[in-house]
Amino acid sequence: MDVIVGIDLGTTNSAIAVVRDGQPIVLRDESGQPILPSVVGLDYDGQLLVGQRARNQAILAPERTVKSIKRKMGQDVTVTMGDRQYTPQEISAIILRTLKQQAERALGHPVQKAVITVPAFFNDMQREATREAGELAGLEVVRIINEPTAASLVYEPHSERQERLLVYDLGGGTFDVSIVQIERGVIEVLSSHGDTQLGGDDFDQLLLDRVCHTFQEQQGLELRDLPRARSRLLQAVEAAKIRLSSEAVTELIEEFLAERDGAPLHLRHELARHAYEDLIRPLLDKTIRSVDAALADATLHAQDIDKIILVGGSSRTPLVQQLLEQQLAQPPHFEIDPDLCVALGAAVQGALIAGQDVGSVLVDITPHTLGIECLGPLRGMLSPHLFSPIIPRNTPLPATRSEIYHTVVDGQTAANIHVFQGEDQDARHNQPVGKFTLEGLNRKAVEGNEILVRFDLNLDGILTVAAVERATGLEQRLTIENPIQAFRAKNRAEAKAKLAAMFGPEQPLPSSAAVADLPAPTTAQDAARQAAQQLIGKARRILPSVSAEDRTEIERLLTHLDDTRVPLSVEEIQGLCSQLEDLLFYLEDA
Amino acid sequence: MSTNPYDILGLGSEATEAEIRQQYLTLVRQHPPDRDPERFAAIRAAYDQLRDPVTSLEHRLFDVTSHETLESLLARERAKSLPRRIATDVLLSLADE
Repeated sequence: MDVIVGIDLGTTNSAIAVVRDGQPIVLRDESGQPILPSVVGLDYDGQLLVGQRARNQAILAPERTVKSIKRKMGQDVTVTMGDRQYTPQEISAIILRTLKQQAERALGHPVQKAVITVPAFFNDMQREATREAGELAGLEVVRIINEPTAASLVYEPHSERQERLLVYDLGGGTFDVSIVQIERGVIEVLSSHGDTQLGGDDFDQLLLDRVCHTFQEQQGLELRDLPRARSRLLQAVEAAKIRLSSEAVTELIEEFLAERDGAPLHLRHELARHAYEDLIRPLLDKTIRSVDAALADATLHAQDIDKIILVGGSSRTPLVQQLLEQQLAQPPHFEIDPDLCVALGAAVQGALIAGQDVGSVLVDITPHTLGIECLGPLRGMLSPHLFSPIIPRNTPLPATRSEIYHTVVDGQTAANIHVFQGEDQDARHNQPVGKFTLEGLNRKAVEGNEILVRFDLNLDGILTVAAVERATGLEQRLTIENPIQAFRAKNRAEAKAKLAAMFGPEQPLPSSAAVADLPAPTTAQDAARQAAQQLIGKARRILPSVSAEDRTEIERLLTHLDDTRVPLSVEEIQGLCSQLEDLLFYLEDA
Repeated sequence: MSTNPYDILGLGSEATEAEIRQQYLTLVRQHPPDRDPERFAAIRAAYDQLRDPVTSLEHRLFDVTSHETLESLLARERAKSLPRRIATDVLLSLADE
C-alpha cells in the first residue's frame, strides 16, 4: 500500500509524520529531533544548510540565510541567498526535500506522496505555490489541507455525541481559527477566519523595535541598520519572548553587539511581561475578533463550543489563553504538542486517502468567497468593479457553482472574466485570482446575451473556471494567468536542476534488513512524555486558581517539559514530573 | 438521476430535521469527499436545500451579535435577482477614465 506522509510546512518550524498501526507518529531526524526549523542557508563554501544549522548561522551570515519564507509564498518575488536569487517555492522545496529525506531515513523506504498543510486562510495563489514547492521537492502532493482542520483530526474523539471544537492556530507567521463539528465520525468544518500575515514573527518584530528604539535613544545608534546586530538581536528577543511565557520579567543582555569609534557597545534591556503584553495586545485583539467572526459565520455562540484547542507555538503565550478564556468562558486545551499536532493530523488525512480506515471522514470548506467582477451599483454609482460572488465563503469542498451573467451592449463579441477572492463588494479590494476573455461571442446577439460562468473548486481549494455562451455553447476554460502558473511553465525544469545540484546525489537508503532492526517509533522519551500528559493537563487546569508564586513555578516546569526543541532524557522528564506532582499534591491539599 | 433533494438523500418528504441530518451523515460516511467527490457534492447540495431554512433565517435576523437587519437581508436577496452584466474592454476603459 502507498505510504502518504503528512507535512506541516510552517513559518518557523516544520515537521513530517505518518500513520503506523493506526496511530500517527512524527518521523524524527537522525539526532531524534521531531522539528525542523524552517530556515535555509548556504555556508561559506556554498554548501546547503537546512534547519537548525541554518538557524545557527543566521546571526553570523544573515545574507546567506533565509527565514520565514512562508510569509512570501504566492507572491511574485525572489529572495537573495548568497549570490543567487530564489523564489519562495524553491526555498520551501528545499525544506520539503529535507523532510522527505528525513522520513525516508526513518522509514527505510522511499516516500513519494504527501499531504501538505497550509493556513486555512491561504488564498488560491498561496496554495498553488505550496503545491509547486512540493512538486519541486520530488513529492506528489496528493492533497493540500488546512492546518486547523488537520489539528482537529488528531483530537477527534470517537464518540457518538455531537461535539464542537474551536481550533485557535497561532503560528510563527499566520493565524487561523476554525470551528469544527464532529458527529458520528464525520468531521465538518463549519467556518474559518484568519490572517495570513499575523504571527509570532510580528511579536518578535515589535520587541525588536522597542529594544532598538531604546538603544537608539541611549547610544544614538540604529541597530536595525546593522544586519548582523539585527539578526543577533532578533534571535535574542525571540528567546526573551519565550521566557516571558513563564517568567514575569526577563533581561536581554547582548555584549559586543556593535562598535562606535572602535569602542564596543553592549546592550542590556529589561523586559516585563506586562509591557510585552501591552505591545502585542492589539494583534491578539485582532485574533479575538476573528474568533467572533468565525462563531458568527457558523451561527454559533461561545456556549455552543465544547472544546478550545490551541495549535502553533505562539499559542503558548499566556495572554492568548487568558483572552480566549475571557471570551469563551472556558480554558483552552493543549494535550497534544501544539508544534506537532498539525503534522500528525496531516498524516491521518494521508492515511485516509491511502485507503486506511482511520474511522473518520473530513468535510472541509473554502474560507474565502470566490466570484467575478461585473457591472453594477457600487456605493450608489454604476461601476464595472462590482464583486459578484459565485462560491460563498464556508462552502463545503468540492464545490461546483454556476451563475448566469449578461452582455452589456448589442453585438458585444467579448466578455472579460476577472476572478477575485475576498469579501469586499468592490472587486478591486479583493485578491485577484486570474482573468481571461471569452472571445468570439455571437455578433448578432443583442444586449443581455447569456453567459454562464461555472466555478469548480477542488478539495485542495484550487479553482478552475469555465465560461459558456448559452446560445452557441461557445466555451472557454480559464488557465489562470498568475505568477505561479507563469513560473511553472517557464522555470520548473530549471528550478528542479538548481535544487538537484544543491542537494547532491541522492543518498542511498539503509537496506530493509537494517530497517527491521530499528527501534520502534515510540522512543522511551515519547513514552515518558505520554505518561506526563495527564499530569500536565491537571497542572494547566489548576493554573488560573493558584497564587502568582506557585503559578510561576508550575509554568517554569511546564515550559521545560513542553519545549520539544530541547531533547530531554527519560530521567529529566521523570524528574520534572515528580517536581510537578509534588507541587500539585501540595496545592490540592491546601 | 433525480434532482429532487429528498430522492438524492433517499428520504420521504415527511422526513424531520433530525432524520435529514442523520441520513446526511450516513451518506457522507459512505461517499467521502476524498473518494467520491461528485457524489458527495450532490449529497451536500441536497442537504443544504433541505436543512432548516427557517432556523437559519431567524438566526440571521434576531441574533444580537449579527448586524443583519431586515433591510440588509432584503437588499441582498434583491441584488441576487438583478441582472448581472459583464463589461467589455471598451466600457472598462471608459469607466476608468
